[in-house]
Amino acid sequence: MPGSGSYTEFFGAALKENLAEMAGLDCIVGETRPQQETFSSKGLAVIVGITGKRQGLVVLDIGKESARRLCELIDGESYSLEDEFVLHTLAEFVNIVTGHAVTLINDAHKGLHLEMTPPSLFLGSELKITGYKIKTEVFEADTPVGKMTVTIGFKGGRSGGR
Amino acid sequence: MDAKLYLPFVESFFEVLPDFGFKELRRGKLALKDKLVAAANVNVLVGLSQDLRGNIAYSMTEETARGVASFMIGAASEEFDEMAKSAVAELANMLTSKAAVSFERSGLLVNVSPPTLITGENITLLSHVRILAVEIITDAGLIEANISLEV
Repeated sequence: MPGSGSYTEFFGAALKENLAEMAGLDCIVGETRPQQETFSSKGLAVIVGITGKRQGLVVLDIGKESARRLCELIDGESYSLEDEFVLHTLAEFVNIVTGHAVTLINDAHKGLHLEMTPPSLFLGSELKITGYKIKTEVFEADTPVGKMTVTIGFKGGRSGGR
Repeated sequence: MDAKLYLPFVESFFEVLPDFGFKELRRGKLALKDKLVAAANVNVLVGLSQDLRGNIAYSMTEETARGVASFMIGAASEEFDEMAKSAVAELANMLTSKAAVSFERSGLLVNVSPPTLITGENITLLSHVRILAVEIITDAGLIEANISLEV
């Protein structure tokens, strides 16, 4: 259970729990480190905005093959790399993980009233993502279907509330 | 589809861009698209929450983005560098915030998330709901506002 650290650890906890519950996957959450203002994508990026007393963003970034394998486990179906269901399932997965993390943060920090925007997914080559007016942190999650990175940033920095 | 909910995002262009010296400004094609759309190389995503939930992806070519940045900065942007990128992101923020103020006047509280810039090649955008794509033709080129609202 996340405690006193930055908000980022709540996202690590939510990702780990939902990967286990929804896909039966173990996950090793790596260390949180500062993210560059502009960062490259592995190919698929799901972006969720955060509003409320603190504004920010969450980006889950994953390669296409890892996304396909993850979504097969979540849905119990076989998918090709081109299957649109992969994109919809991935976006919904990130929506659930972010919602879970935001609930944990709001429970731990009364009065913050964080809300989230609906997810948007970007797919492409040589994707680069920049969050403006925010300081971001990133952690990598190592799973049996491959690695994914989660970038979290809030206006005012530290990705934390203290 | 309730047009009243989409109109403020279009009106924002006509209220904000002239302040930066844009003179040619008109609405182009309107299209209701599926949840999956091809996007241009430069996109700025701004999310909405509270009484109106959704996303606006402002999509344009790099050439248009450089032109937009030139108007915003007040000097020619030869490269799509950090200053130009920041200017385009700020414009998306201003356009969406202006629409949020308009909604507030009509009793809807809308919170706006910070802008995120997404650049690359062969970009496809997936929204959770259908997208209303509105073309805005400017001195700098065409900007497409891809509006997806949970309504």
